[in-house]
Amino acid sequence: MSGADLWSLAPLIVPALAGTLVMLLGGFNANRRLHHGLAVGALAAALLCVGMAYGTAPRTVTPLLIIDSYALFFLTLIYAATGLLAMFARPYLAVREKDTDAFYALLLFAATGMGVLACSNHFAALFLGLEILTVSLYTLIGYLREDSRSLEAAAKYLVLAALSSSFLLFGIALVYAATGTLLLNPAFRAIADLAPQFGQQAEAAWALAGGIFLFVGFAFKLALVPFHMWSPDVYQGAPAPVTALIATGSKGAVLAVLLRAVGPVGLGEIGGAAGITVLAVLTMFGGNLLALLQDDLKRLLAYSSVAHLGYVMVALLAGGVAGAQAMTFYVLAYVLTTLGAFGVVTILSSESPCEADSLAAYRGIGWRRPWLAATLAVMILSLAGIPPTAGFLAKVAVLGAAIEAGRLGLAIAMALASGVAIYFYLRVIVVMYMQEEEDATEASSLPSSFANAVALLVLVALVIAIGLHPTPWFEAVRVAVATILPA
Amino acid sequence: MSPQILTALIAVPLTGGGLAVILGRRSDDAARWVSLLAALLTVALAATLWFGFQETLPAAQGPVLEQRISWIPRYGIEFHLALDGLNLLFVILTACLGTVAVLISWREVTRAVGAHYLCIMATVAGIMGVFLAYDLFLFYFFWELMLVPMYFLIGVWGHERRIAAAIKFMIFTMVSGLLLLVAILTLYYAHGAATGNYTMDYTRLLGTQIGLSTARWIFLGFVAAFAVKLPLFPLHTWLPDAHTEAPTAGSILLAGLLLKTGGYGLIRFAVPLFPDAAASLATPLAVLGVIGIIYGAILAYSQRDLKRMVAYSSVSHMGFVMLAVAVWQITALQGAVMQMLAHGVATGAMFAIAGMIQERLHTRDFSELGGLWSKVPKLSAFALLFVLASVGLPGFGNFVGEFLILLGSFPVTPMLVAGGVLGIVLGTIAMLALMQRTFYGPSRNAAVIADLSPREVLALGILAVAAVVLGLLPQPFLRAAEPSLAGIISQSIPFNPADPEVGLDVLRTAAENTADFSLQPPSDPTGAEIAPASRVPVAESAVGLTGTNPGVTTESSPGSAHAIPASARAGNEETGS
Repeated sequence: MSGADLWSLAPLIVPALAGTLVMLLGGFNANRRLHHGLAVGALAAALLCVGMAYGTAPRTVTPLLIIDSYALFFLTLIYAATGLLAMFARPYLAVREKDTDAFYALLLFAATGMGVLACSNHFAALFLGLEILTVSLYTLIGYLREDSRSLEAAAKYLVLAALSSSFLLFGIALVYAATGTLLLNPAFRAIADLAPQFGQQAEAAWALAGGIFLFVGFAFKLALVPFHMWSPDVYQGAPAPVTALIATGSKGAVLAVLLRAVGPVGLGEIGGAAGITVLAVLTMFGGNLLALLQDDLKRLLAYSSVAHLGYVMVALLAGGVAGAQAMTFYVLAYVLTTLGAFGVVTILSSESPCEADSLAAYRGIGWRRPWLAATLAVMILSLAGIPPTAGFLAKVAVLGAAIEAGRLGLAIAMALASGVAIYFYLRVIVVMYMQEEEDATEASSLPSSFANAVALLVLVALVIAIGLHPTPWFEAVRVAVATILPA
Repeated sequence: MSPQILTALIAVPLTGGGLAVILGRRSDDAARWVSLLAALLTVALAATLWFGFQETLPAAQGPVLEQRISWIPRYGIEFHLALDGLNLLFVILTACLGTVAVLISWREVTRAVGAHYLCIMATVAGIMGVFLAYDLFLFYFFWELMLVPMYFLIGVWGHERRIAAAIKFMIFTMVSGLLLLVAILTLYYAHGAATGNYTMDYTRLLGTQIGLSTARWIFLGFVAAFAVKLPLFPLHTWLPDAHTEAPTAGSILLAGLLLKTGGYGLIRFAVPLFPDAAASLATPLAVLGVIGIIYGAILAYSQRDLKRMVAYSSVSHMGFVMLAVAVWQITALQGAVMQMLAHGVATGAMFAIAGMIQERLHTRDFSELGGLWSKVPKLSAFALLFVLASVGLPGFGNFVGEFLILLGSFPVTPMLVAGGVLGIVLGTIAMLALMQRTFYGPSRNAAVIADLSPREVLALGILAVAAVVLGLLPQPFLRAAEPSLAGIISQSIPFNPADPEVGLDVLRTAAENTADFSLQPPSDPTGAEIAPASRVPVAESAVGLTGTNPGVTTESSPGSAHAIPASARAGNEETGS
């Protein structure tokens, strides 16, 4: 490995080193502000390194990792999201009087793990990145040790994530046995070549079984129906900033590697399109129908993100360059929107040690806390796919890709599923604006922390800017996707 | 004239609403005045357009003013606004009713005044956009955009069961809107695959050649959205709830403007883009329209709530628009435009009156109303005027609209016209019952109430003048809309009736995939479930589309239609005299 390789890897090395530093510092110094500053600073530095790495991209560093503009696009998204939620986490942890060293160290490690996923070119890197991410998440989810729900969520996540990792690992072993390669693209291409010979060649059976195991592993991580059972409990029990991380960065990173692995080959080629179509439809309707029943905002958002992953699967099924672009654009919009929504949840949970997750906690905040409520309303409208927000254009892009690929049935299913979703998204707005509050507490219009107010403002501005003027964002997505899927 | 004026029609109300929120933090009156100012400025802009294009409108089949800016080039989407005689009329209606809505809610709303005016003005801006958009994506953008402020208007400032009504309204309109989006995208890709030109431009998408079975599906996607708004029986169930629970300004905007976007969408987009499909589905749509006319009138009669009654009468009146669209013949379409304008004015006024009564007596229930004439004579006189306008008394725009629709439809489908006439009679009974129950008879309420304030007289006066002008002097409006309608009709000739299955590969696959999802193939509209008697008009209306309508004088045949048929002219002059 040369010095230039190390420079290219800087976006991954910086957060890893900073995480270690915060962990070491924690032994001597319990200054929350310092840990927080280090974490946010490290992520900002990592973003800077991402910017510099554009100069040397694309560059394959060892067979494991590839730093191309596709990876850098997702690294930007992941680090920006992690940095913002590190900012949201500060008052949240302060009000709970928790030690912060381990939290920020784990957050940085999780960021590293997600970064490795986004850059991985090889099953080993994929598995490594995934484990760095999930091991950090086990601890982060259970970070509120006194809260039984937090512990329950951590235990649940531990069991299911370990199970899904073993699926993934077994799938990798089978694929390796069948194809003899661990490089992502060649392996999936080999599966695609072998799949039609099912029944004639033993390798074909292994390859298919391996592919199915791999997909089940991914489906667990992405919480596709029927592998979604863990997601509402974990979303509800985890501390709000960690929930935000699970919903945004970790999903984004897994989708990044999934698209890189499968996109150039096409799901249809691998022979799983029919099964995955059923899964996507189940996920869209399942997520949205179950969300109808929720009285807890975090659970509601959990089911809503289940459904959104279903929409992402529609884009993946559409395939081709248009499908990949639509999928990437959707992930961009979804991450920004979900981050904004959980940002508001985190800020409201930072005002008292109890979590602001039940919908009743939001009653009447439209008039009591106009700015926060307006932010949440914009995010909800974006999740519902109503103009002029990023979520709307993302939905149009996915529907368009599906129709262009001739999957009209899938597009109609998606349209109907998002029609179902309107009801529960509107419920949140009803609670905020249309129900009288029971006890009017003192009015304070802005979030407690100035930095967080700015962070939320930036997210709102981005969500609306993408909705009104998407061209630069489409262009960024086009450039990113072109490196894995030349037109 | 500068084309930026079209953007200004959208931007001015939006800016006014934004300012209302900002100033409203200081004082409620500032929010009111700034909204009124913005609304009046919008009226002034609309009036400038009306007088500025008096000369050019009758000659131009296409747009007289266009503005296009590249917006999302990746999808060939432009910010494309255009003005022709058809949408100019709706722009004027929107500007006027926006002003009335601002005036009406002056004293009614006391909570979060700034936000209330933002919602009104944003709805007005969205509706303006819907009427002006010439790009299908932009149209859809505004179509969805106008719903959000309306949802807040109903849900926040509405009456007792406002939340349920707001959610119902939103779900009906959003779900049908999503089908519209899928339909637009399907059309977009079909056109792009056939021509290599991926565009959302309305004028370029006209004449896209699509196989009949596919076109029928896409057409139904458009119709789903427009029929919910119109509303077409049996998709009307959101309407009584939404109209009843909305605050007065919300009811006015809903009844006066939002319903019109449905009719406008059918005339502008649904039929011209898919003439074959429209022709093949004309009979079921016409029958549903006439069912709506009769059903709405019957249900209106049996309501106990003043606003609900007016709401159901809207269902009845808008059924005529559906009938006219299904017949697709210039006299009927001119009637439809007149009907929409006149209904917007008269029903807007009826909701305003209902709101004033509610504000004074805190009830809309007929069992607590009655005998109001002696207490509030001015209000009652206005009510009588608008009730008479609603029932289609000669001298009001509604008469012109209904008459032209029936006249144009009669040669094509006499049976359905008979049904429509029956509906008019039933509707008259309902509206007279409304008058009787509210304003005549014994008073059931001892409260002493004030008559109209000058502001209220102004608001209702604007509408009264509009209703009478539409009735006595309809010719300028008919003349403005005529060339546009003729142009639309001439573009809507089926491209190849002999060989309807000129399919496109992309859509073939699309259709096959649809079948995979076990959606039933489109049931044949002329199939066995429709009685033979009603099948005759199908053929005839299809023929009407091809330009050899047997029942009307030849000069009105759509292909060469540049003038109102003589019979319609006569009708107008009779009205005018």
